[in-house]
Amino acid sequence: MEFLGDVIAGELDIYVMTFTLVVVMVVLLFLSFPMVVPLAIGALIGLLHFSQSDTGVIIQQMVTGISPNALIAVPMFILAADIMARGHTANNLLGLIEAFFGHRRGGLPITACISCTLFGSVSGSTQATVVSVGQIMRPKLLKAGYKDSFVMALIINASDIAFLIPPSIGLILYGTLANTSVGELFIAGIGPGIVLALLFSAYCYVYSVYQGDQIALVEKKTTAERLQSIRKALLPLGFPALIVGGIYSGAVTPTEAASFSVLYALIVECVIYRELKLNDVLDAALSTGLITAVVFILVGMGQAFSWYISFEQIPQGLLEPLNLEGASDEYILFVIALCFFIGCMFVDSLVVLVILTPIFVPIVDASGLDPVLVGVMVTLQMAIGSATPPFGCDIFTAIAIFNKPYLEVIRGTFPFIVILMLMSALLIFFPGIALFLRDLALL
Amino acid sequence: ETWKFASEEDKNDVQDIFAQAFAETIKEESGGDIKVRIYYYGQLGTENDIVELTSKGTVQFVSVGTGHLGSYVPEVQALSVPYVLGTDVEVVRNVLTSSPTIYQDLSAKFEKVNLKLLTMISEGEMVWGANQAIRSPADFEGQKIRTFTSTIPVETYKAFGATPTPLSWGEVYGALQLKTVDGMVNPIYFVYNAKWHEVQDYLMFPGQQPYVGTVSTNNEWFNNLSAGKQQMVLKATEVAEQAAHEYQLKINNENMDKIIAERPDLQVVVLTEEERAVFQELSTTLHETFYGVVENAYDDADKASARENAQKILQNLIQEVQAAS
Amino acid sequence: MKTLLLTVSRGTELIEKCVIICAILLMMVNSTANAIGRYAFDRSIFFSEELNQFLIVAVTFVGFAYAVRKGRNIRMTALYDSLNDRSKKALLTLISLATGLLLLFLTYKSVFYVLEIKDINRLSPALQFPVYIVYSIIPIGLGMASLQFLIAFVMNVTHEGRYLSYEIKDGEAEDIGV
Ligand code: NA
Ligand code: NA
Repeated sequence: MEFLGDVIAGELDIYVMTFTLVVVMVVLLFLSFPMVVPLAIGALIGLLHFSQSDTGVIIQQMVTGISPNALIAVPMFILAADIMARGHTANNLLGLIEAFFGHRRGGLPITACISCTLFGSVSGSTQATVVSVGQIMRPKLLKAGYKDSFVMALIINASDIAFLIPPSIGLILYGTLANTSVGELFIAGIGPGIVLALLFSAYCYVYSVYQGDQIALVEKKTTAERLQSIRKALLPLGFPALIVGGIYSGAVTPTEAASFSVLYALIVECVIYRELKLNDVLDAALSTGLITAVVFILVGMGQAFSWYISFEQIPQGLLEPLNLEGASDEYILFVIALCFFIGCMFVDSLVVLVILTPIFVPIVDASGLDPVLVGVMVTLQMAIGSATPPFGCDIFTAIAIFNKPYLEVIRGTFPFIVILMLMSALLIFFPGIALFLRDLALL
Repeated sequence: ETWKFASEEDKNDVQDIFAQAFAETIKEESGGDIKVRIYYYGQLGTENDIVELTSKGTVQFVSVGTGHLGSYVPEVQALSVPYVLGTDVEVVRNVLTSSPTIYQDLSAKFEKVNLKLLTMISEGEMVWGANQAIRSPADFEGQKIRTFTSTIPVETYKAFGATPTPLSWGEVYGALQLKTVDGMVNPIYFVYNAKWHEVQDYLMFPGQQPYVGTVSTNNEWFNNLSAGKQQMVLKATEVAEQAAHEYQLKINNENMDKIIAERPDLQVVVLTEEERAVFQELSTTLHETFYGVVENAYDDADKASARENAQKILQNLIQEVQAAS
Repeated sequence: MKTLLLTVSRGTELIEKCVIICAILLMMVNSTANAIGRYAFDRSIFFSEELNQFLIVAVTFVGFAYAVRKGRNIRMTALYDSLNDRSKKALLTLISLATGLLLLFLTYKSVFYVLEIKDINRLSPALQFPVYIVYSIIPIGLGMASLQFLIAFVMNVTHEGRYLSYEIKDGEAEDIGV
């Protein structure tokens, strides 16, 4: 009762403030207010009710949130992915994998999984991957006899790998918020991305063996067909080569690599394949701008909210009892992963990233943890979060493009979540999975 | 009572040492009644944000470099013009703490944006990093030097013959390593903290200028303080300036030693008087740039007087430095 | 009256679209040109970063208004989807009013922010350009977004069906597919 009195009186106590803000924001979220509203209301209640401070800072911080130059990479990679999703790229990449793995046991789901990984290397977003690979692969998998619950869960979760494989919007945003090199983050994401693809493939194989009697196998491709598929995939594969090569040869920064990727996508789809017309490109730019705005308005408002909690030093107060200062690297990494995992279950990954990153950055800096490792771990949790119920943007994308109800889409998710958690544990105890390639590149 | 102090730098950087000493003194002087809460780099947003927050009174104290303050008080960039302050430790400190030009003419400009200048601190000589020795403008030819995105530094390195390349902080290490850019400019202690010495082969001491931090408070708020509290602020400023000065000397020395220990193959080049004179000669063209920057910040009616004023400030400053030498 | 409103609506939509498309394409040209200039000709565009930041502000706030117009918001609809039509309509009416008012408040705040920046005469560091001119797009974008929500509220009160904005009904908005 006394506590509620404190809430009403606006007592400047971190637990009272935290309780109030969390309750109000969760209620607004579940009432299905646009995501920007709970964040804005959280910041407003804090400023007006608790701190009695000027609210103009919200606007200032919204601008600050969207100002880091590296953020330019977000619309650029979305635009490149959009152009490629409208064109031939996904199809050609997928054809390559299918030609080599399609006929084996578990071949089709493994093809889907590896194709998602490969498409991830040309796309910065998981949702683009769900759309482009998912739409092509799902009918094939269903025809072969795989259960829809398995197929949809596979596509959603395998698409998450796109978050870890560069380019990745998650890694860019983390790099901006934590002031960590996006280039290093990019290369450190590759290892965990590949391990995850292998783990998923292993699961696909096991699943296919158990369900063997219901599943038809695809005919083996001839050598000529295989060569044909390689030829077709060459141009799309030039894309990751361009990005990684461009960045690591020092020719361009990761941000600039993003705009070159648009240029490359334009040349491939408009000039070489002649698949897209000027109007398609303008459409793609418009849709990119719209998605960017929806994301960035959240980034901006998230900055305003996190400005407020850091103004009142709430995170420091809340983290104190966890004894993070001087704790072991594994423990800190575990706490960070757990906080992001739980956050991403309920809220959009981007929002969680925007709110939690500034809280953990000082702790990471004070510890001996490699910020790049933390970035990869955080991104992995965001990837998990976008596919994990109850709230996951990839789930929503799947609902929309497959036209299936929520519960059906998430039914087969559990085994994948177990694998993803295993992956998180692997990353804690074997950080080399992420850092090995980075260290090699920095030599 | 809690006062808020926002700094543009990280924990244990020079400005933070200032803030810590400041907070400590206020606490002692007020008998524990007044607490000063310190915010580090990024906690309350960008450098611009913390200046604006102080000007509005959300935060009471702010410390930022002259470059960032220049967006609000253009005249303060007189201190960013190369070879004006020079790098003699005692001369620089003397001018930065007691120059009439700074504390009368410049100070008046701060009040226009509701700030009150408390003090200025040097954070050490700005050192050029590169992968080759740079002793003359010809050596700068084709060198991509990462600078702060602001007219004076950009024009400075253009005038010196280099290609100034703006780049955000987080990307600098990678860009230096991959040779996307060739060099950068910063005080030694900062170079070491950012680990940039790992990716540079040469460090040059051009005797050009120190990195200057400014400490300001909200003017209206300060004027409304009781005389006792105003005295407290001024005393704490003095104590903190001393602490920051000592720390600056110590940390720059220590970090230079660490750089040499970690990179025994790294070459340190101290430019000779003759070599410096060449750059100093080139730097006079930047006086016009500075006047132009100030002029541009004013309405048409005030441009002429603003320019005149900028001239006065810069020339007086140069004279004061000469007198102190 | 109705045709006038419709014309205004179409007109502003066209402007929003143009701003978004131009800003996105300009961003690409600006970044690639800067990289090519630096790599091939040893010439950086010194204002490249600043221009990109201006463009991002434009895309974010104008794009936000456009997204609201198209009914495309990130919302968590798990609970909402399980409601019956009457409750859905009531909730959506409340959401459009509350969100519209919140955005109106933020528009008001942003007008003051822009005026403050103008008073303080903040100039961008590279181009020495008055920042308030660029930031004026913030109240415009927020104001348009607020207006869309308030119009949706009026539509929800006066018409059958559930409106996300003037032209988009609940369930008609394309999903946000990145
Ligand atoms: Na990716
Ligand atoms: Na989730």
